[in-house]
Amino acid sequence: MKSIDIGKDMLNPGEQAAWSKIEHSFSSVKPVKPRKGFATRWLFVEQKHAIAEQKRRELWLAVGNGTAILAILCVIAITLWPQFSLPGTVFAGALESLLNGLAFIVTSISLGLSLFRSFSLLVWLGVATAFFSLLAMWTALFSRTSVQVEN
Amino acid sequence: MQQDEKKWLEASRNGDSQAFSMLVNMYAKPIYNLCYRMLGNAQDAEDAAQEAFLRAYRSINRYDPDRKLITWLLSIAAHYCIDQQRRVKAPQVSLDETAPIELAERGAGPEKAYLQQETSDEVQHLLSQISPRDRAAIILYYWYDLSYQEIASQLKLTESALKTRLHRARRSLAKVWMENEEVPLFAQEVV
Repeated sequence: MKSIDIGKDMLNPGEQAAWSKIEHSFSSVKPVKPRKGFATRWLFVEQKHAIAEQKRRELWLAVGNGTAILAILCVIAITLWPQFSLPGTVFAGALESLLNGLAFIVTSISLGLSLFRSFSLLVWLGVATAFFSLLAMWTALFSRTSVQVEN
Repeated sequence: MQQDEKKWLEASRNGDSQAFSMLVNMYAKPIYNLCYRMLGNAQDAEDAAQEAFLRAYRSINRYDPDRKLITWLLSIAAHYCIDQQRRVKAPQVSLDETAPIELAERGAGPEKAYLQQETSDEVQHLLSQISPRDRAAIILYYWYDLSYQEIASQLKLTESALKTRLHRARRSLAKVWMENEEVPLFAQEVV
């Protein structure tokens, strides 16, 4: 047990006497210890936190995916809007493309979920951004090609 | 021991929580003791110590191997306890929930055990009378073999600021002691 070696002279005699008794009390106090099994309980707490963290990530992923799907649907709807008034075969083609696109997204999401543990959120967001950019470009290209075929 | 610690640290860095639990086992006592002296009751001390280890595990990649692991862990635990105390504001001493002290000489008899427990409670009461930062400084200085420099760096203080804190804490504790001096327990000595 150490003794504080500074400022003792700054205490009045009463305080010095009291401090000596406190020091004695400090030195006679034994360290307290946790209940047995502390490390096991820590492992349990850590696992609980890891599961909670995983759930939180999955929730964010689901929210992000939902938002992305909605955004894509909006882009597709806006892009294909003029074609809804065209003859049935073109509309059916557009619908098929839309369904193909959705199937692609669903597949990508399930793939993304399985890969999510391996990549950080930032990497995943980058991939998602690239994917959505490509999809938007593809939709625009499809729209332009459809219009050209019709003309 | 040192070799084991390095091995467990390395494994922990690679996400092995089992390996980190070995470190938890190794340092549970000093970390728990700090949390207990800071917070004043067994349940809060347990929660705080668990949380401190969890934080350490989560930020294990930020640990500088040049520092002593115990110093780093104590720093995390001390800051967590200070934050907890700031949130709660009021001192949390509950003598009904005091942790059993480590009775190395249990064979010495129940009377001595009782006196030790009483002294421990009184020390706890005294510590609850000073601010969390001052308390952390006093605890780290008295119960851990750390230098001024180590404590100052843990509490993010300069050495002179730490010495001032220790002096202020000492004076406050002495005043509280003097105010309570008529309580016979304070005058008892534990042999």
